[in-house]
Amino acid sequence: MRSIRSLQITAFVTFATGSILAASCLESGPAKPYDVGFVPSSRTLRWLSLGHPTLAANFLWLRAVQYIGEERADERGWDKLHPLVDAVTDLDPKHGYAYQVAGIVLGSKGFTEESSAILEKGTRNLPERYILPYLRAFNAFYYDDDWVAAGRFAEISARAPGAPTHVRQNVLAYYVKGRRADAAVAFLEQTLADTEDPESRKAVESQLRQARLEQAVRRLDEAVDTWRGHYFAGPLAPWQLVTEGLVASIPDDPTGGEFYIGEDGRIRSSANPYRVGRAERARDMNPEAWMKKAQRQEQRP
Amino acid sequence: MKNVLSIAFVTFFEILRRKLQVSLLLFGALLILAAYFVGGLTIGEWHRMISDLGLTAMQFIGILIAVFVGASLVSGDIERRVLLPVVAKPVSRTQYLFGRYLGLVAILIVNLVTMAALLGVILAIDDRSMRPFDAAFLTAIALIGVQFIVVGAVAALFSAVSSTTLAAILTLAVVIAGQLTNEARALWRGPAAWIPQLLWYLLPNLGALNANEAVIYRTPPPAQVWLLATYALLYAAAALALAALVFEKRDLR
Repeated sequence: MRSIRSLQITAFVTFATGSILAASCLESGPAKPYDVGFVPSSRTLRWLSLGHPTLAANFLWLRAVQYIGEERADERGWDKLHPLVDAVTDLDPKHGYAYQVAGIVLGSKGFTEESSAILEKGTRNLPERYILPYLRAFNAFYYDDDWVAAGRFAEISARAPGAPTHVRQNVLAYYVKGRRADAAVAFLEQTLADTEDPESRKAVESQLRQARLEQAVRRLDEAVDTWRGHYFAGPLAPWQLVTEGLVASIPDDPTGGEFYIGEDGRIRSSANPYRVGRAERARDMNPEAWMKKAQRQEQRP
Repeated sequence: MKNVLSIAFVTFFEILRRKLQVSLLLFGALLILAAYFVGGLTIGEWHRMISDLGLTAMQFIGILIAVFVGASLVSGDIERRVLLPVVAKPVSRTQYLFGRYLGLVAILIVNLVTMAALLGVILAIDDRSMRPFDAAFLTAIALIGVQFIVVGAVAALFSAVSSTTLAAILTLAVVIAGQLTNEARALWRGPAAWIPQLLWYLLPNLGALNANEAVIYRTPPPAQVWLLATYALLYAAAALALAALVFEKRDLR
């Protein structure tokens, strides 16, 4: 009896020690970066989840998080992220954070089409989440240089409940840069009509004045461009555009001032010299003035 | 009624002592605790992961207990020959069946409340407020309880007409199919669309009794919650009535 017991103890100790030794020889860390070999279709996962699609989405999202968080992800590539998040959001269309994270990561890794696709899907499924069309607008202006699309998505974002007020400013900027100041005016007029509290109305009215100014000077800006095309230098005053026959007349300044041509070669208002536009435009329009300004800034202590 | 309650009381304590019940309940508690740690693996919106995993763990464990304990509810007594002395007393077979079923439901509800309290505490700790104990959470728990009542009734039905093993297999099959009838009805189109339609009426629509999404997104509970509960309770009552009908005629030898 005793010998059987000692045999059992010996067997246990031997096998346990052996398994620990074998385990210590196993590689503890992954030899290659974390990857997802196969992304099952959302339809299959929906069936397999037995009435719990959000649970399947959560488990798939955990894999997506590991995929994103892999330190050697760039070495591995990012091609599985879009299918993963697409399946997650098919199973759980309200998973707002998945759209948001995937949109940002895919965009930053050069997958702008996929990023925009997932953000547009999120915008359709979660119209109350302002950040999704806002990020889509960012993709449009930053990666695609499509200011009109940027304005359109920023407008969707600005209309979402709880959207910060600065998003309206983005709508204005994108539309103006996309030469669609009329769209910005229409949007801000509608926003003003829907705004009740005095503080917000004041802010929207200010943006609307700016949009109307941009709308009014658009043709003058184009005429200045044409002038520069002919004479390789800008005109000195707006009236020269009329005498040259590039515009029929100088429109009234909606802000109540007078139009003049600024140092950067753009039409400005004496009542409100601010213009929505890119800094590079100043360099394009009047290189000498831009160079002088840049030198003055560099000489400042 | 007194006979039914006496049998229910005895059944409750009998199941409470079973190793299967205790070990599954402990496993359920561990799964809910694990949900808290799994929630930490994600980025942002930890709440959704904890509540979804926790609620599903509760459903999974509760349904397993309902299936395996419910399957042996009557057939186990027949196989162990302990039923004959009971029915020899002035107790009808229907009273016996209802008593056994009530005892099972009572233990399932106690399990549910225990697991729900644990999940609620975890969610409250995560949120650092009592906000998780909202209407959506309480409705989701109540609907899980209704699921247990339905699964228990189906298990009692199969237990009354077949052996323990067969009853467990059949109940599990009905539970799995019942989770899919909604999907099948929505996705199965074409000439044979009457098949999922028929199954939708025949099988318990357990998928509809799932309010996890409202808890995950902190939205109001489903609008049809009372209709859902009424449907499920009527289904359970029909299954029990059928069980009683068949069990009255069953040869116990």
